[in-house]
Amino acid sequence: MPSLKIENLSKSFGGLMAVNHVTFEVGEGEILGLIGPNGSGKTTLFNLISGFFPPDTGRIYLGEESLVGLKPHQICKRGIGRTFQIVKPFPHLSVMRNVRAAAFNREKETNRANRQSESLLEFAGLWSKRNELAGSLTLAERKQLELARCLATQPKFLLLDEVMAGLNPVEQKQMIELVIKIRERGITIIVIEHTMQIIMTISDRIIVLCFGGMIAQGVPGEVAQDPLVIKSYLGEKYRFV
Amino acid sequence: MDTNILVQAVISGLLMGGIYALVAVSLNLIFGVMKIINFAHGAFMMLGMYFTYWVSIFLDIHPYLSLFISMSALFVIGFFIQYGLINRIIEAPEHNQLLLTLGIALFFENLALFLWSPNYRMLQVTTLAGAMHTHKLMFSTPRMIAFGAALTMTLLLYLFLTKTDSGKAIRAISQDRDGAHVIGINMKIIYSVAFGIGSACVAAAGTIITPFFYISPTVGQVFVITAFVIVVLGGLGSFWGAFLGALIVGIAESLGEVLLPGSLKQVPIYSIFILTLLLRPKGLFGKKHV
Amino acid sequence: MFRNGTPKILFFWFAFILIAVLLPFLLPSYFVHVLIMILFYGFLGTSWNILGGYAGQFSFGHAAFFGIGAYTSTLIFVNWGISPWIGMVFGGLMGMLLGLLIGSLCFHYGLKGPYFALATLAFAELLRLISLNLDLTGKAMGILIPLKGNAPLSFQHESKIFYYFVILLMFIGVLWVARWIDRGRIGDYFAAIREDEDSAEAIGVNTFAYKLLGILISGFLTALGGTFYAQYFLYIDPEVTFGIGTSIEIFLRPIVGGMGTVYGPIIGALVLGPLGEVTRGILGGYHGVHLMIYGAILVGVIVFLPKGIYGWLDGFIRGNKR
Repeated sequence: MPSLKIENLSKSFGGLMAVNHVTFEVGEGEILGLIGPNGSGKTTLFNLISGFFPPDTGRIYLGEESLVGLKPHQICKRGIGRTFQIVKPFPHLSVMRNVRAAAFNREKETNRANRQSESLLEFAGLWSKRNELAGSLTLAERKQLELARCLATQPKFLLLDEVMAGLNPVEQKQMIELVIKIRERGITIIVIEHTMQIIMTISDRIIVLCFGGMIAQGVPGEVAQDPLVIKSYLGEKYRFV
Repeated sequence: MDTNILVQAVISGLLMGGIYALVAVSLNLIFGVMKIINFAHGAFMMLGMYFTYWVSIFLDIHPYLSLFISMSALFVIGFFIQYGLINRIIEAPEHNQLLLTLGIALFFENLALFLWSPNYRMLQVTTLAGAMHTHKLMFSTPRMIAFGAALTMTLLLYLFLTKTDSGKAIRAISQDRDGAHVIGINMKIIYSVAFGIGSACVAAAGTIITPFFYISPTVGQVFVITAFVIVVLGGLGSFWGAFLGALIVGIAESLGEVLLPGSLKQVPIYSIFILTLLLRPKGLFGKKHV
Repeated sequence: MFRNGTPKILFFWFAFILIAVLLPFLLPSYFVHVLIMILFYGFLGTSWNILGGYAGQFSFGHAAFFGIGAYTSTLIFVNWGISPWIGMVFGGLMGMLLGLLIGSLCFHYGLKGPYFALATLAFAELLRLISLNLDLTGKAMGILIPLKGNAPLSFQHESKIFYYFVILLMFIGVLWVARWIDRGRIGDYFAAIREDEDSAEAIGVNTFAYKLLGILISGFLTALGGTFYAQYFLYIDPEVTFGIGTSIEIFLRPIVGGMGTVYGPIIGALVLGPLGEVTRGILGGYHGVHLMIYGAILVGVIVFLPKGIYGWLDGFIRGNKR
């Protein structure tokens, strides 16, 4: 499976550098954690990778192919899926239809798309809610839906933007289990999270961003000891599990 | 092409532009505050003109004297329409608001059609009529008065918005709806007052053109579409953008009338409209992101 | 609203077809006219709905497609004697081309919501102004379609029953297209675009291409309606083909009946049609007075029944949607 390579990616908005020469690579089946204080450019990085903004400089490679300049739907077709920080389900459509619309990314035929969606709803634990309108779900359910919908596009890479935010500890535990199940299916995941604790638990490697630039990269143990990281998180309490 | 004709066209366009300015600036007020695209704006102008017409005829007075009546009437109508109807759908998708105001426009236009027939009416005015002539150019007196009145009202509106407490409250809401809510301004009343003022202003525009413009149930349609073009061109939410845009459009239309055959004079306007929407939807001075 | 294959539905459809076929022979000519107009606006509304209701791109200028269909088939017939049936197909193609033009421009520049609506209005108005000033289109006088008497091959007949069956078939056809779209991939993609364009892109929907598809289909079908109008009334002019009034009449039925639903437009047509006739009867006189009632209904629907009549009924009868 091809790897995802980010080289020297930069983006500024009106003079403010949101992403500053970021370089890293994500390998097969990894869970890569992406952390940093608010405004450090994490979501912008996702927006660049998934094609919602073009970068100012730098490259994004999926295997040999450059992704820069492609539209979001083209990037989705190449196997990169993403969730949004503020969940965006299709509120007036049923849960089932939400997922099926995504399943059509790979399945051309309605019956097969239906079956795909049904199995994904089971996987994500939303089977009982399949006929409910997406707008009437709880936050945790909507996050599950966003995940299921993303999976329906059959991605090889998944960009998860703060899936844990707003969930209570029980819901978070369920979500973590779901993420691990997804990795077991062979999907590579980049996770943005706010809480050190969660990131430490699930990530194989971690990248730390600050003011758009990368300040550390490595396995959780290393990163936690990094003086630069500690400095930028000064005042924030974090604990290891 | 005789330069004289062109200069005359520019002058006529400028004078009409002043009227458009009042219409556009009041439309802008409504849009800036409530983010509503008010299709009924033209219908209110039409109602203002009819009120003026009937008051002038029944009381046998000069149309200018009915200004207060037409403005008050439309303020009340506008206030209650906002309060009773539009306020209810403030959170609905934007095209619903467009449809609502369209429905209101349809209702009033055809009510006018039913009550007063589609026949064009004109007020015959003897005082403050006629024209002035200098340098081979003609300046129609009613048009000049209308221009002057429109400018005055536009200025008054501007002063109201910037110098008075109510005006500032209205602007506070248009800058930041949530913020204004937090400091306790009664939103519903403010919206209604703003809508009422906008309606009163456009009714005034209607009143002051009755000495030289025909009155009919559909007269507002042309004005409202022109006003949309102006507001988009000038930039949604920008007072002076609308003002400048109005003068530009007035002149463009007038030149179009002189240079293009038939009713094609509106083609430049619609073309400008489409181009603006496509290429620079923020308009010339727009602050709000589209 | 209905599931596939249940015998009850087959019986319903059979009865419906029987009634639909017999009705025009049993009713006086005026009522046949009313039925024709209901089906006509149901046809136009359903065509509009594919772009406006399903894909969520609200068009205020569908008269542009309507008019181009009407003028194309009429000009081909009047100038070259080619049957309006063939002209209708060309009209449809012209509608599609127009859709391509308007759609590529508007969607490329990302026009949405009211801005798209106003842009379509501007395009329709431009067409109206052009046809008002071209000799080819007869300027303000418009074009009279030559009387051919009973000439079904030339899309003309002296009896209204002919037109009734034509529009009935057209309506059933467009309904079939709407249902087919609604059930499949295109329907899901349209719905996704309508609900949230960014999300739709993120799950692989080429929003530009599908919006364009929507306007192509909608433009094609609406143009067909234009030809029908020309052949039924035997007279077209810039105002009645490209005017704002026509655009309004087109989207009014789906709004009132329920945007985004298959049956919304015809429900809207069934409500507004007779209502319009009754209004005209009571208030009489000037052309367009029935619009006063339509305006009031539009206001009422937006404020009290934002999902339209169908949506209200649907919510009323059952808890959840599909």
